[in-house]
Amino acid sequence: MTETTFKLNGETRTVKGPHNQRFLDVLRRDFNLTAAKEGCGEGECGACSVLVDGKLINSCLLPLANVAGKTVLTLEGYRTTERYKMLENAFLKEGASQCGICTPGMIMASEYLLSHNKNPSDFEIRHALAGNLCRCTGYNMIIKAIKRAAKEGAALW
Amino acid sequence: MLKTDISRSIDNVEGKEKISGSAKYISDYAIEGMYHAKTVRATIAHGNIKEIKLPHFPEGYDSVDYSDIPADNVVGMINDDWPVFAEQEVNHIGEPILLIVGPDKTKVAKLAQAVEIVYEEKTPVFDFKNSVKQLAFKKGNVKKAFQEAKQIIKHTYETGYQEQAYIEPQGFIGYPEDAGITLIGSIQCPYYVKNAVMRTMGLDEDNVRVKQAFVGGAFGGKEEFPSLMACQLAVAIQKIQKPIKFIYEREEDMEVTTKRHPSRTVMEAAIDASGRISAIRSHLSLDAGAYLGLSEVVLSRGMLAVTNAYTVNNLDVRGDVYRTHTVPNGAFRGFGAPQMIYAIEMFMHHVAKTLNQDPFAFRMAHLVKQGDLTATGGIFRDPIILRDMITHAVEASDYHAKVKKYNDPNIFKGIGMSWFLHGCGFTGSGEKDKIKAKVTLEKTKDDQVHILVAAVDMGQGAKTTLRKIVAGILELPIDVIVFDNPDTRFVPDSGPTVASRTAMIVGGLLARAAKTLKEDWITGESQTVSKRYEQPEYVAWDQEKMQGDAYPAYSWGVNIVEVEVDKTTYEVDIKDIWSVYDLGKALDENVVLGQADGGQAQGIGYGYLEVMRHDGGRIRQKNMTDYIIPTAADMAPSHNHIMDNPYPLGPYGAKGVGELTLVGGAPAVSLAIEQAISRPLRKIPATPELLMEAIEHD
Amino acid sequence: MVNTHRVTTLQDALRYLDENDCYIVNGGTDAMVQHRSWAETPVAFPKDTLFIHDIKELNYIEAMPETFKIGGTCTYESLLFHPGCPKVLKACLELFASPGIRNTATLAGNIANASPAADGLLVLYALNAQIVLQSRNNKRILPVMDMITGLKKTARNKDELITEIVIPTTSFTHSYFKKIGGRKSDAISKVSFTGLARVESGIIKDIRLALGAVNITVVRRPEIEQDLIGKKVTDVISMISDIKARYEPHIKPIDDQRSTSRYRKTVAMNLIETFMKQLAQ
Repeated sequence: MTETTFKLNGETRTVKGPHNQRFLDVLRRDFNLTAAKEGCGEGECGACSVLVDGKLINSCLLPLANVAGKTVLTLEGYRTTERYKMLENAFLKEGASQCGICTPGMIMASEYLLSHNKNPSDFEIRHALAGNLCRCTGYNMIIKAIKRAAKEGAALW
Repeated sequence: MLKTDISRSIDNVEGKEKISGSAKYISDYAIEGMYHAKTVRATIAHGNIKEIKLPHFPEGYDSVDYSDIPADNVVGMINDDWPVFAEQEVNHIGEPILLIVGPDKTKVAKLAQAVEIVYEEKTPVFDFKNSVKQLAFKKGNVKKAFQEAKQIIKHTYETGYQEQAYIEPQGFIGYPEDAGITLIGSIQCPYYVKNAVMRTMGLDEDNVRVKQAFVGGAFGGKEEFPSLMACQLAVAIQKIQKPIKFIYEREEDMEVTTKRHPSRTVMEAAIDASGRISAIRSHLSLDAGAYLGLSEVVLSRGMLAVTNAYTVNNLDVRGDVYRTHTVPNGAFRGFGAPQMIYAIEMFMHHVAKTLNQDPFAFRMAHLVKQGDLTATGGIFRDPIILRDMITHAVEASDYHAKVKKYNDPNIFKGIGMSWFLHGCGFTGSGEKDKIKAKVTLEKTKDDQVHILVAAVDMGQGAKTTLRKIVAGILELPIDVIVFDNPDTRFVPDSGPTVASRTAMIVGGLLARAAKTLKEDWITGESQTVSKRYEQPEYVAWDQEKMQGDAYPAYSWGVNIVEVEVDKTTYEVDIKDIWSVYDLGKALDENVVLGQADGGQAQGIGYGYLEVMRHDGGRIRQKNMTDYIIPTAADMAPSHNHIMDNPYPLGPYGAKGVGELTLVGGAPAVSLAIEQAISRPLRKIPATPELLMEAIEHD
Repeated sequence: MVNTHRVTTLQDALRYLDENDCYIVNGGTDAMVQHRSWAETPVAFPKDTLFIHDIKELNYIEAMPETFKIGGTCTYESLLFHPGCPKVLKACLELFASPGIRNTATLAGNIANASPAADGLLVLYALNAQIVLQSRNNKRILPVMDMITGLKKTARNKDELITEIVIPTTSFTHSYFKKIGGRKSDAISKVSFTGLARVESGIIKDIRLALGAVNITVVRRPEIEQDLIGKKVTDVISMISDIKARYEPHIKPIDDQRSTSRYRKTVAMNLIETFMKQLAQ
């Protein structure tokens, strides 16, 4: 049986099972980490976004084999941080979450953007969210929320 | 305590659960020992099943088909034509024939793939040929107006499919419970599901329980379609006696679930000596797909929008629902109105152009006012502030100056405006005769107040707004008002979460219940108050003749869209969006603005971006790669403005919101594009391919 | 049930490829979609599968005065953020899919899949990129045009791995990349175009045009380009319809769920014209 070891939300974990599993399934089934959702299963919608070695990744396109030795952060791990709290408050205040199915992915995409661009322009935010589809909001309130988080949380990123 | 203006936003009451990823959607549910179900579907558009060759089933695996249905092989809706499983005849590609159920998904998938179905093919019908429902109404004397007309102008408008494209695919999980069945689903209408399952299973109401999971987007797509899945799953649970999970995948969802009806609208206007429209003849054709479902009601709502926010004294309006051998179409935010409002808004503009009149002035000259008769001879009783709304939108966008500037055909820019109304609640006497909504407020001994309604928060903020209404009237803090996801074991049937009725109708009933509870309030005691819908007495509707007040109230809107078209690639760039809405009174500003942004994105996307077609009955754009919905990079910033015009019978003056924000997007963006390319458009979506044909081959 | 093998060194990869006939997964963004099965079940790769994305020694970018070299496991996102990334490639990458895809997708994978709509491939055609193929006992270098042999077909032997992409450093006075997708981002191209040129004192010294999604592979016609070199840009303006006519027989797009043949062809022709006019400006 193949074993794959990686760091998940700060802890070293080993999964027994085939390499050709989608990492999204591993997260949801083996670890009961269900914040990452399956929206399309083909890397278009971004609802399954997680951070791997600090980079935004669609976990539905990530074979377990490619996670070996990496450091994975899911929303469950991220939501204990100050940065998350800043984003959560900004999303609440701007009404950026409606049905909520895309929101976990949006939060991860926001973190990825702010982690390498502390003060993004509207244009940069729109393109940073290009891989995260939302059908409820029309995006404007999400963009406002990210701008608010960037402003109020300037010291955090 | 909510002593301030009700419109002032509070944090969405479900916000933290959703943002933190802890909200439980249907695919997040798991039950120890559960099985999985996969559907085996028809691969032809029309024909008879001659033989089904099933593989050998290992222990624990089985198939479920029509022969397992205890009672009626019908998905209970308005018409009884939609089978739970195909028996002999199949009528569209993807029609469900049977389920394969078992514990291991890999094995279930293999078995499903091994099923072989032999057909006797028949010739499918794909065009507007086979009319199965006809509706008509008249106003005034159309014949005379056309006889006396100085000029007659006629155009035909076409709209394509639109897919709801909720990010969460459809799904249920269910299990046997006591003598019956319990289903948890991603649904808009718990009681639609419950009633349909009772009918198919022959079970009484105590033995079917339906619970709502968090709903990851719906937009009408989870109105009637989930009843089909629920009936199938109930049959499987009854047969196999195990918990079963039944989740669609994206491609499956896009290929087989209901979509917005493709339409064709013929508009013909009689122009009188003063250069105004004296009469309109209109015919609306809708493609129902293989089964009727709700198509008749969609047709009706479409036809009722025929004159939109204009008054025309003479009308002859007809409509047909056509059956074709394609995936059944159904509810989608706007419900027939987007098709007709697209047609009438374009038509008004085109008529003005033909008459060499200024389109804005021409449209203003026909604008509806308070006291006018509606298309069906009802009365616009409440104050109409549309003129002020238009003025606001025109000024905010610098509309007139831009129209003038963009008339230069060399700059490929355009600005388009639509204005529109949307009837709130069910059409005609639907609320009184069919829905008969009931709500309950239950106060516990510790003075918490539970809202017991079947309304679903699918992102539109129902939990926030309904709790605000109750908290506001009881003058209590929002957190002592409890509103859990509906479970039919505990909540009364307050009706489906559709038709822009939740805030106005359900909210209105809750407001009445809250007033009673406040009057009778006894601290420390458990108390229950229920209210049932009562139609305002002046609202009279004749369904047969389609005459009278089709709706108790109307919400109103104005959309302005500015675009630029690339001369080389014909791509459309949305530059800016302005909107003004009268929805009575906003129950929460953020909720309403969120509805505005999202509805506009869907409406504008419908107008220029979202392409779905079938080829021989097979949907060609069946995933998120090929069915294009807007990304953040496609949408422009919006300037949305709410104007108060409280409706006396709505809670805090509120009217409907959800659908209104979608219905005007397509004509606004189309008119903008039309100006940018200096050529008329009569079809949506106005894709680069269509613009190329218009520009290069005219 | 297929066997899977994960390698972290080039040596192990080449040995495995030498001994096995296998399917190669790099970043996985195409492979995982092409072979996906039902959610929650393993992806059904067609044969034994080798995962190579974690070969660290291939994860590099090397900007030299003469060449820009990209290792076989280097992702699009790291390319995009590299200061030495050729301008036209950067323009392409900014519009490529989405950040989440760019963080795993690789240029080498894009080449191996040989999709006619692959934007990265288009740019490589225009930049005269060379593809390094390595096997256990051999190493060879192919121009990208020779590497791609047909619709989703390449010259890669089954024991070879794409280990490096070499882009000769060239300076251009004109650099134009245009992608037409169904929407502004996160889309597969309906048509794509790359135009590069070096114009000195009004004379065309170098010119390259590449068109994507209009034939079974990227269209680049060196014989047409050759005839333009040495011409005055002012003269080229009057030749535009002639140039378009020469490209026309090679533009043979299809009708599919994303666009129409007529649209693709018309836009491809418009883009050639737009680029030619830019030269004169």
